[in-house]
Amino acid sequence: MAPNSELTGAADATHDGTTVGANAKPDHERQVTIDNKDSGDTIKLRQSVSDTIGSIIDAMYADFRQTREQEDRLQCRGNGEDVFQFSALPLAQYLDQGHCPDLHWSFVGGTGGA
Amino acid sequence: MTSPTPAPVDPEIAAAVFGDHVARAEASDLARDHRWVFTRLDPLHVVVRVQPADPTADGSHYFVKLGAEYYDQYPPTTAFVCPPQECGDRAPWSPAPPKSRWLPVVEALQWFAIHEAYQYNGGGSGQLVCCSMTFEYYITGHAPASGQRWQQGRHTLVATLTRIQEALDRATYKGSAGALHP
Repeated sequence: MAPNSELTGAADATHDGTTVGANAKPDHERQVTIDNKDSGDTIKLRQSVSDTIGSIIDAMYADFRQTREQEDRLQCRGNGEDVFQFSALPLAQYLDQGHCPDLHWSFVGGTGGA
Repeated sequence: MTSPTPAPVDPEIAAAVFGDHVARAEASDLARDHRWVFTRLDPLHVVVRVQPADPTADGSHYFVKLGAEYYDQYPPTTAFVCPPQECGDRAPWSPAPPKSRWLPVVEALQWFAIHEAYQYNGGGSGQLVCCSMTFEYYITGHAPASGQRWQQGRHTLVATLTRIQEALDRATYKGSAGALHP
């Protein structure tokens, strides 16, 4: 797991975190929460606002110990907006543009069906 | 269309892995957010109460029985079941029959369908929750793309539950089969 991350779900049901909460972060940091709908894990990443969305995505994959697959989806939990399309944006700009104010994302891999 | 049924896995190993994954699922943020309620039947089986997120939906809830006979080389065996005292002459937690109140109706999505009475190999007919995160999908002739397949170590039974939950949360969910076909 990356040094700036925290894994919840699993046996940790409190989700309190051992670090300061999102609202208490220094101005240059934000907390990104990502639910993994394939495993049930939830990670919380502390990221600088100068980090790009792409680098946060890379950190997510490292945390989940996965490689990106074509059918993977990463969406803002609040509005369903695709996150991958903003890979080149710095986090600060992503927030300034109002894309996902609570920075809570959902990750899920592909699914075959009928 | 059917496919050969794989051999069941070692039940002790399956029970250990399944038990760990059930505990993790039950403690997860997703379980809290979706209000899943877990009832362990035995080391290889759990029933999970699920319900649509939309409060304007019909208020129905359902029970999904997950089994670890092939877990986690394959996804859990999966069926919507009727609770004890609601199964008539059937055993408790039996698969919900066609037109049952305990069977949701979901208009077919590209990645998910519920077949009330699928014709299985050998002539038997039964329910099929048709999605690559259920075991039955792999013995009914489906051929998922590589990025759609169940992957041991990447997926847990949460993947099965989140697909069912997403199907219930969409506008394609039409309510209980029992309400639509009284």
